[in-house]
Amino acid sequence: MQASEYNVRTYRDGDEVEFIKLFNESYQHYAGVVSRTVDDWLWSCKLRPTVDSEGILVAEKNDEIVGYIVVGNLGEVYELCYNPAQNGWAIVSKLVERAIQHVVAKGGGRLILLAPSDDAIICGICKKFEFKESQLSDVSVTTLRVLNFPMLIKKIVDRKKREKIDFEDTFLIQLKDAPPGDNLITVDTRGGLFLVKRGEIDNPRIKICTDTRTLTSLIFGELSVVNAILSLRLWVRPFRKLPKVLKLLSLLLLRETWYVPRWSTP
Amino acid sequence: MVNKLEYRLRTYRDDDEAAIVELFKLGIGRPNIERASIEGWNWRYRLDPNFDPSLILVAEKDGKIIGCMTTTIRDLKIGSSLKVKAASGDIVVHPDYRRRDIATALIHKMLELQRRKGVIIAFGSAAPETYRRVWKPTIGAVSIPDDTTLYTKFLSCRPLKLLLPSINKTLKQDSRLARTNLTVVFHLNGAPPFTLLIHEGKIDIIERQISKPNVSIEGEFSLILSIIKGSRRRILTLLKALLTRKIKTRGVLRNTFKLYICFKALRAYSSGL
Repeated sequence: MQASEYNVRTYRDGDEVEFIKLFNESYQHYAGVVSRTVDDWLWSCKLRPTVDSEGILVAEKNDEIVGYIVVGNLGEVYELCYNPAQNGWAIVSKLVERAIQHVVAKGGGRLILLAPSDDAIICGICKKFEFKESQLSDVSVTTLRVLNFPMLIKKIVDRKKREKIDFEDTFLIQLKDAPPGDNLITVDTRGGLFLVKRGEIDNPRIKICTDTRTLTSLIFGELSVVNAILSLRLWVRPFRKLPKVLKLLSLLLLRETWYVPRWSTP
Repeated sequence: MVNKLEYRLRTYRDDDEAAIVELFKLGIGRPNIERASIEGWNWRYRLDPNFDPSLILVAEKDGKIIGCMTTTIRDLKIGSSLKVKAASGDIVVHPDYRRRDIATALIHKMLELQRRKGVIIAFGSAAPETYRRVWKPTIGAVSIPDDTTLYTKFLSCRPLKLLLPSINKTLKQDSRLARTNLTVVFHLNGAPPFTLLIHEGKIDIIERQISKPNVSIEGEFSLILSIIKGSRRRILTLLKALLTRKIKTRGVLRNTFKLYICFKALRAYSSGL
């Protein structure tokens, strides 16, 4: 399929309905993104002070929207999406080319674009246009603090409910740095169920002593259980119950790739 | 010994806008329209469908706003089909009142408000140094593995050209620079090729390569920029980059050192780049 089959035009009112479908589909596999609604998109792109309607460029094929780019007058690319069922290489190439022309016309000196590292098409196009490549985490890290562990654990397990829970027991997680009321979490997996609540039950059979940073790091894959134990950041009592704790933490582990387009989540 | 500073924390009122915007202008290294203008404020908060004024806190001393923390609640994806209520935002403290734990007080009060609103995760982004110095020790935040790539392409020398009249003024005032005659061709990754002409106290830029320059430089645009912008250790950074071949030069070695003098002249104006 030739690049000339795709036509690029500027934004028209109502395009956003297709944009959010493309956006939510493009980034559905990633963590770190805020799912778009029409209102969210209008606010974060169209109403943004540094974006004018000439900076919202739409790729079409036979009047069907197959991609779009939102570029600010200062050269920041706020969104870039394409339909993977089409020729992504041609679409992204055309959109980036037009975005460069737009920024030059506005007097901008550079174009800055964020992309998931595993998006071969966007990364390939950036190489083709001789962009300088660097890891965003070298200049800006994503930070996270869990405020409600019981609710987070419940949500993770609800999503993974198809996984069979074969480690029946009662666990008490003690978070030594959490404020009273938030420092004890009970997990009860007896009877194939998964119950989680704040506070302590009588005679929990397994005690896990740790802190909020360690538990967060374990859930978000920043730290392995072995490292946590060896660095004395995680204690299990009795230690012989460690296999069950490993199963519990494995169930809670989130493995998704994080893609955090910083300027769309102020 | 520093006296204990007396201030109070309160939630945002409609007439706080101008003072908060002024605070952001003072508190952010490089103010931008989205954070440090009334227009930006109106967009960032008032027009945001998730705007909640009860999640904007200010620190006030004698009627003057000396600190502010703003947050917005959104549904953040933390897995492919898992969304949680999450809060993110900005914090700023007036430069005259820093290192008095005002930011810590704002953060802890905000976390309390967020808990009451049912927020599960507080998240944000920060420079690695700010994360280590502030977010990690203050609230025990964790930096999570992030697989986002940053691509930058420099499109023209326009920002540098705008600074030329000021740079030329400096060159004329510096006797060593006023005597320097040098033609330098830059061929940098992520930037268009350009030539710097330094002739008797005047700098000019041509947006192409010319033949037979005194020095030709190849390397990363950002590395050259960091050497120009760098502090006292920039000469070491330049030497290290030359030795490790991250910056390659062609030309007489003496001219390469003249180039360092030229970098020095550019440094004062590099914040505009």
